[in-house]
Amino acid sequence: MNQLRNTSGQSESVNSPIKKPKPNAKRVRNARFIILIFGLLTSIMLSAFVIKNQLILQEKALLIFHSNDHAKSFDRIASRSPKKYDVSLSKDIDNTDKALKAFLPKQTYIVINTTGNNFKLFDANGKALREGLVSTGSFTILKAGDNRQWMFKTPRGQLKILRKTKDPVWKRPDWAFIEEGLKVPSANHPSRFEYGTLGDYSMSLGDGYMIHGTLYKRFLGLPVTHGCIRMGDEDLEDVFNTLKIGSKVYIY
Amino acid sequence: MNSFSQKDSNGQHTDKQQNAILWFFSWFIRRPGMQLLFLIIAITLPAIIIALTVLIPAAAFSPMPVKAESNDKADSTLTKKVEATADQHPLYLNILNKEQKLSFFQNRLELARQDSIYLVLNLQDSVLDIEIKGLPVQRCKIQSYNASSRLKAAQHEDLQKWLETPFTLQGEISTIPKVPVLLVDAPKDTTEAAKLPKKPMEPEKTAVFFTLLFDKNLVIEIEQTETILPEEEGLMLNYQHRFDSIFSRTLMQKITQPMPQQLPIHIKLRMNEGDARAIYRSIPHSKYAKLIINPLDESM
Repeated sequence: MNQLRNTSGQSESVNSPIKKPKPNAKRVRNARFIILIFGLLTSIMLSAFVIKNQLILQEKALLIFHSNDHAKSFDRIASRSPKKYDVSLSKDIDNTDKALKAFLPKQTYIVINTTGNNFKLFDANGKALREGLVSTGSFTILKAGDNRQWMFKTPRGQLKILRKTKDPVWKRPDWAFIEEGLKVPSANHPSRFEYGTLGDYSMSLGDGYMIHGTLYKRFLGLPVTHGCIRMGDEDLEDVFNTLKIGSKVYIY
Repeated sequence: MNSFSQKDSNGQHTDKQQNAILWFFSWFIRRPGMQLLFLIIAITLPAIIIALTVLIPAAAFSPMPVKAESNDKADSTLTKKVEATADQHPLYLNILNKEQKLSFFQNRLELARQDSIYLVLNLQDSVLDIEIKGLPVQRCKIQSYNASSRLKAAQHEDLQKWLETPFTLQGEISTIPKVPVLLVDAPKDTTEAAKLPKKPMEPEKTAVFFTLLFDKNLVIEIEQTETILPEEEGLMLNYQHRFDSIFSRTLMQKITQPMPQQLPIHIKLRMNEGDARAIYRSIPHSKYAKLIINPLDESM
């Protein structure tokens, strides 16, 4: 058949009744192949997206299929006497609330944050009276050569003021000598007793832990102690005068 | 295909190529059949995957890992099943909120009786409290949070059952150590002691990101709102890698078991660095750490 080439290189028949250029079969075949490839690629990409974000899509899909319509709960409530149940629930809430409040301090108390190394002093109604910096346990583990070791951390939880002392004397424990490279003296050796180290006041929390003053005021706000809670002079005096024996000390 | 890849000596597309591309698009636009074919090829597989691994499993999935006992048994003993009428709904909603509040208070009371420090997540007030013996010792304001839609999708009965008892910590991952321990060997004499550094550790500045893995499939992620420093990116990458492993599942698992019942219920909280650090440091280790949740109001 006699064929002519058009400007775009397509061939067309001279004898064709319609003079429109027609794409050749090869081009169409190529185009179909491209569509197939693009289609498959898009399909794979979309599938990968779905798999990758499966959890997010599932979370969204849950809201389509499930909703808290309360129907089950309403039926349960309706099957008993709702008004009476409402009253009994209010009563239970009040009782539980009362039981919870019984745990709250009835007198002034102090809250100590060992992470931020600060404290807040409160009155019996929970009104903040004073706040300031403290030094708490350094989390240092001191290893002595004789298989003994101490971890200098401040105990956490609810403690109580067991004893209040003015002008306290510090009886140095063994670790205080060991960490200075000194020989450990006998239990009541005079070198164990230090005056002025604990400041003007101390409040015992039990197990050798105390709230007391410090000579190292520049370290307030930092974790440097052997487990005790150190305070600045003014804060210590106020806390000492405000807290009573039995006052709660919350440490976290 | 050759016409689409021909290039001249300078590597530029030739006019012939451009014409071929234009021809392809004009040809494609004029053929609805081809367009339909393309859509079918592109969408069929993802649609099947969505149906099989997302929609059907989601429809069959129970949003809460625990299920409240059915009332059907009790109902069957009644001579006539009582149904709630629309005008009673406000009273009933009020009752549901009270049930929720009572359960929350009972949990707090239970933990207040113990000596441990515990956490109270109150989504209604957007706060996370550190509590000791019923006293909130630190109230941490939650700047923003994302909670799993499973909490919204769950039936009140199932949600209540899930929240009925405090959550117990099973594991944790974090960018900061639980305890910033420093090991020191005792000096042999005073000379060696004098050489020991006397300067205390500076306050920690490390970015605080941590995840607490509780029982009953609860995962609480807490992150600081402050932007992280460029030098902490390595630390963050390591944390992110460990975090991703909580949720990661193999392709085969995703297809064969698209929604296992033990899927984590994820709650992400953002708060300031100081609060986040205090929370992580204050909670006891593993099973002694407890959390209770006060969810959103039932009417919300």
